[in-house]
Amino acid sequence: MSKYIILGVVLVGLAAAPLTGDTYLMRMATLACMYAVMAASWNLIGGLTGYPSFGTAAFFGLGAYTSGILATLDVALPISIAVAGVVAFVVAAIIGFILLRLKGHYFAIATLACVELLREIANSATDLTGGGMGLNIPRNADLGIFAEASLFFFAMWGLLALTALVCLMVERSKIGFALACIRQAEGAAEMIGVNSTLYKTLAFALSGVFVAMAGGVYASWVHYIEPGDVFDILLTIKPVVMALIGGVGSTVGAIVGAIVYIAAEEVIWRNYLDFSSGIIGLTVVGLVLFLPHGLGSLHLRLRGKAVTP
Amino acid sequence: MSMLELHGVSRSFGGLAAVDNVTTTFEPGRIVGLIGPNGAGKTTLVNLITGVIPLSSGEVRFNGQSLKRIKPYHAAHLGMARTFQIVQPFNQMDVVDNVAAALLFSQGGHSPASARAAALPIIERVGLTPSAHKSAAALTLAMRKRLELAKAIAIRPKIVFLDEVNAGLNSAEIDQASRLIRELADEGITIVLIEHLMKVVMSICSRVIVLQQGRLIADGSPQDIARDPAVIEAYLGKKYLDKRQGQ
Repeated sequence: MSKYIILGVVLVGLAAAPLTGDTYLMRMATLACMYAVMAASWNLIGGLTGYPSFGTAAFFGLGAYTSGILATLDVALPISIAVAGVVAFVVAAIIGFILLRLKGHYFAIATLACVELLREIANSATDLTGGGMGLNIPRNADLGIFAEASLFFFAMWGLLALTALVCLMVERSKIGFALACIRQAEGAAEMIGVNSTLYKTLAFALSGVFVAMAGGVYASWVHYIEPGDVFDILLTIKPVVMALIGGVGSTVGAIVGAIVYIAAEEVIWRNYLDFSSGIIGLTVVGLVLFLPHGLGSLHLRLRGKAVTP
Repeated sequence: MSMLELHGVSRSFGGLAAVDNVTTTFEPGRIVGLIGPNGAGKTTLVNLITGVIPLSSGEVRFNGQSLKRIKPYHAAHLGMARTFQIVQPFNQMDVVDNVAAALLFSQGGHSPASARAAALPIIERVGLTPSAHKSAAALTLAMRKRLELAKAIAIRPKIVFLDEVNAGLNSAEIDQASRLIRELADEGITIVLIEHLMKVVMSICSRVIVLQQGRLIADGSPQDIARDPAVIEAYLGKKYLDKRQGQ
């Protein structure tokens, strides 16, 4: 029950950002929501199913380009984002069906290759994507700075709420039960009747949908995308680190982990310009070493209880 | 019509024939022992029947239906259950969830909540009720074996392959397991017992089949099997057999 309270507090807390009228703070909150969507999505396949995907950036870029190209054709933002989600679901289902027979490191490397593959396609399909020159995404109307910041903040916030809802429903449902069986003993899961290919593919496809939608919102938000930006390997790595910080296997943990990470990154970056990535790296290593089950296990650690994953 | 028919079932790994041209049938409600020396292909044969690995050649028919390229989950839906020689519980779940998972995914009509409720009588039946809410990782080996049995029962099987379900148990625990196996057979479930403990095989099996180097070398009542020269040779070597016949 406490996880729902934490999620409620986090969502309400984020929604208070526009009240400050501070566009810098709103920008940070929008970014936090975006990464929270990606971390919670990664948790579906990497945490619940136990397949360490490094394909997050592939779906982010796919969504950004799908939605961006539609926007240049004057398609309205909500529709272009919905289409990005559907396209990502189909592409992820196809990729997942093929790659989910690999395990562990092999699966990780194969999904990483998908990022590179899509990046090269975006680079080469100049007519469609603008290639290395990038793609300009037109503004719908000149709303003014604050209104536009609010629009994209609430788009990202709404997407986070939707992602959290779907992920929590998956966790509690028959699908989540099947994923837990697959993670813990895949052979035994098949033997009791779990169609592991179906459930793994479904988890992977779902994990692509919201990341692609976040990519779509991002493209309209920044008005300009290029392959190196939206297929950036950091977009793959950061959500994994965030889920680790929050505690792998928990949707709410991944969301909290994303917010903590974004806040820490910003504070450290502001104070230690030269050595910021080094300090972030050391912080992450320290967390993984001393709190391997994430922030979610902190209360157990403090009370000296044994932590079981 | 037999429940399960094997026709020329074969599987080779590279040049090695792990299961070689096995033809036999299994009838409902009987306890069949499947024995043979280590590496004879017993577990591989079960893996072939349940779709864990594909056949190189031959055919498996279950209730008259030919099983081509079936997946293990499909075998479970058809009513084939198995336990693993090296137990594979879902370690991060408690006993109830382990059994509930088997109920939930082997047959339609359950929600996770209703499956958990329906799991309790099965857990009672294998004697795990006092540990129902313990995590599977916290169980002793004997209890984990019983959990494997409970999961097999939960899929409402027509046939159960028990792969060394008694290994590592003490004699009281073995008696308990044997009683449960007999009960299941009385309900019309076919039991295929892969077993090294001859005492168990002799006392509860009505028929024994023997594999050696992937081939079926003997098939008969436990008493006949114990006297069969080919079986004695397979287990104890040709030298022993010659000496015994010389006496």
